[in-house]
Amino acid sequence: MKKQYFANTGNCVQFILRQYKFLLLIFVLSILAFTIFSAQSYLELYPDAIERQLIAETMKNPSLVAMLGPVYGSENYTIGAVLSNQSLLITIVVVAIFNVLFVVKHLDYNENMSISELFNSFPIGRSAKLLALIIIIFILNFLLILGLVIGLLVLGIDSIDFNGSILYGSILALSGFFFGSLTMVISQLFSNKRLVMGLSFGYIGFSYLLRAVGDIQNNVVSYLSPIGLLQKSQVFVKNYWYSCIIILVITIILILLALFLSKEKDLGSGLIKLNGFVKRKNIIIKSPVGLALQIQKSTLIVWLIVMIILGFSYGSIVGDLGVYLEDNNFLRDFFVNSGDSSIELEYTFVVIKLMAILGIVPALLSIIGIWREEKSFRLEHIIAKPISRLKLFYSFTIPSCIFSLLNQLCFAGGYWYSANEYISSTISLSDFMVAVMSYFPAILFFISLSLLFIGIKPNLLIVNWLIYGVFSFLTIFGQALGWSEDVLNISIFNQIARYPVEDFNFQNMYIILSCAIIFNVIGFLFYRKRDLFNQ
Amino acid sequence: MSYLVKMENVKKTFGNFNALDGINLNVNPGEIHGFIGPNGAGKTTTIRILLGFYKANGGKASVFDYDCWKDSIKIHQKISYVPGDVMLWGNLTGGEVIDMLSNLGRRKISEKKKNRLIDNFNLDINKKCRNYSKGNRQKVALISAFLSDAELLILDEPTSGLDPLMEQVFQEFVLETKQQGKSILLSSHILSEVEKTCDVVSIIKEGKVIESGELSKLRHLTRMNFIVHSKENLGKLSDSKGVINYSFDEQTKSATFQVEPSNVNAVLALLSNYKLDNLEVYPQTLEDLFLNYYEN
Ligand SMILES: Nc1ncnc2c1ncn2[C@@H]1O[C@H](COP(=O)(O)OP(=O)(O)OP(=O)(O)O)[C@@H](O)[C@H]1O
Ligand SMILES: [Mg+2]
Repeated sequence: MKKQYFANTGNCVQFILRQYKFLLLIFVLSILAFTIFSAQSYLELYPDAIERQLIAETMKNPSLVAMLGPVYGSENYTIGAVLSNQSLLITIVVVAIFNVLFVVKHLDYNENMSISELFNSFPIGRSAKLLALIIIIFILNFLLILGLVIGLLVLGIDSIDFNGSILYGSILALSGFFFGSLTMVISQLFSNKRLVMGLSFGYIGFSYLLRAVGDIQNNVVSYLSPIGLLQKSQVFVKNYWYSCIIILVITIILILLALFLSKEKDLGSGLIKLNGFVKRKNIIIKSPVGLALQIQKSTLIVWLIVMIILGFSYGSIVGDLGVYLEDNNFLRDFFVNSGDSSIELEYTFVVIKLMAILGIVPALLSIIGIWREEKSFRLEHIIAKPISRLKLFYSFTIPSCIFSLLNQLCFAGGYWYSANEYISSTISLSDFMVAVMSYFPAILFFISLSLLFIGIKPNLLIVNWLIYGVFSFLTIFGQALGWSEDVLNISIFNQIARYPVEDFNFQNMYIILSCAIIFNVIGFLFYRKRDLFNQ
Repeated sequence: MSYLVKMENVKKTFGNFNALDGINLNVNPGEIHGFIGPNGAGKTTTIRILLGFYKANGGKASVFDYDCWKDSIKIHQKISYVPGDVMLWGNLTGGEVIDMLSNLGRRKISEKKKNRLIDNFNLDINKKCRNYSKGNRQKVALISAFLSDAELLILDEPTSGLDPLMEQVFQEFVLETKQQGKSILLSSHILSEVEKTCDVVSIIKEGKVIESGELSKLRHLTRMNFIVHSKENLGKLSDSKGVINYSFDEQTKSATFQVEPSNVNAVLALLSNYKLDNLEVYPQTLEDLFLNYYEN
């Protein structure tokens, strides 16, 4: 390739580094900190080998293998083996995501044309920016290796030796380098930033799932996933280097490909033109409800799926609860608080409560949509039509409530499906559903509270999140911290009886529901009276 | 019903800042009304009060004799609005937004007119709004507004993102709307933009309408530019009553100044005391007039 394509690459590197050096540094330090702290905490959590042996057996549970990967070196489960088993995969994914984001931020897409035009109007070679980015990504990931080797060796843990540390660092660095380069190639092909991001993240997700499938069945499928392949290094156990070499070779090929493609490409366009290629059906919106659903569609669907998966995963370990809790004092305290009923049932109550707390997040994200529309001034078009504020307000509120209900049903369905074998002898399906739904008023309470703030002064929504945070903290950790009953009862989640072990508390339900209705109505009264778009 | 839009001494404060300080504005049926003022004068605020987005702190505002705050829904049935900053839904295409807005407006639209608008404005309606430029987003809103067959269009700086060619298309549709007997309230900061289409303009500054009337009559408000050549010393003129912005050019030996229309006779009388080599008098352009307003 001609030299002129790369003119002024050095300046580009400087230009980008000047702006982003702190971000890059913070990223490297965070990965370092996370790795070192996890290694240190494994040392404290499982100091003796016998205890680690038990954990190794636990880690072989299929759902944990699917989540974290296969257990290597279980016959001699050293701290190094624990680290590579429990921390490596998540770090690989985080490094990959960061690299993809960084690359996407700096390449030209059709949206940020004006900036890149400005940039490219300087005497900068056509491919210089790409090369600069490659150099920066290389430096970044190299620093990661360097930092990790030093950091891990400083810990002075026997099983974490020099060879393993270099491999550990290289695995992470190559994950970043590989996914970063892949994103560069995709960016040459397509001009739409969201499409590039979707494809890149999609591939990370796909690689993760592919290796999960392969790891559970313990077959060759994992090798087809770059993430799975990297894990096969068995770092700190066998320290195989072949996967790193394979990924490195592929990465180099990807980089050359990206450079080659970049000289063919117009600024801000992709080699593959999608105009008129992606045709979809015309979306017809006839009402504010239709709009509210349309703009949130994908988020809503993702949350429903997440709730099913979470319900299913929490449910799938009910059968092995005895094993888990025997090994882990912390979890045992957490789950079995007032243990007059069976462990499985106690666990079920805790999970129901947790999922109600979690379910509030999508509920709030969805109801705040009405404020997002206003804040972004898109609502101007809608409210200028003959649509009353009452109609508008409830066009967002009612779908949010229904969506929250569906979330809980999805969770309940997933959980019951995978756990009923173990809990149906102690709790009937209808009692289980009542137990799940007994938390629904609390979700409505938070929806209405945010409507109150949206009505009075949307800037106060942060207070809503604060209250939510405090209540959740009290509910989840309060008991473990030994706080008094009075303090714990501030949280409405603690006001809900553990049906059917305790009697259903109608009184509290009425109180919570009344609060919800009052907040809702007051919220609307203020919403009707206040200026819109006056921020 | 006398006026379509009627505002009497309308006030609006944000905190302790008086954004509108007693606005008086009347729009007659069938009129294209230009609403002109510098940045931050209060145009958008006024329009948002008319639409019932903001509640006025004082005075009376009505459209079609309906109260702007209490009966906004009834008003919305008969109007169409294009905001100053058109923000759209990134995930929907321009065509989908146009269809949605006419569905929500619950008015029958003519497919023929829709296609003509899209053609003339040269908009690719199959693109996602996320990929539209500012001008293209504005086109989406303008097409929806012209399509709606509303009796009154309220347009906030509708041409700020359009190129000259599209501005012309816009003006054609404004005139077509007018021929159908409908009315338009159109805000802008540039006079030449409204000069071609508007019958009446109101000039707003610092929350007050400082001038309002037919464009032809407003021209009477323009000052006269005087250029006087004389060998005599004209210095005394600079302090004389009615002489504004006096300056003297040593090279050409000429004095330049402006005179309010009401003082022209007095100043001419004054000048008759001097021996003049040459005298040029011509009216300021409207653009100059607006600069006068904008400045002080
Ligand atoms: N929500 C608000 N809070 C506080 N001040 C505001 C608010 N909205 C407008 N203002 C102020 O009120 C004044 C009038 O604003 P407005 O947006 O009506 O001006 P405008 O004539 O539309 O200006 P432009 O030509 O820039 O669009 C400005 O000084 C502005 O800063
Ligand atoms: Mg404005």
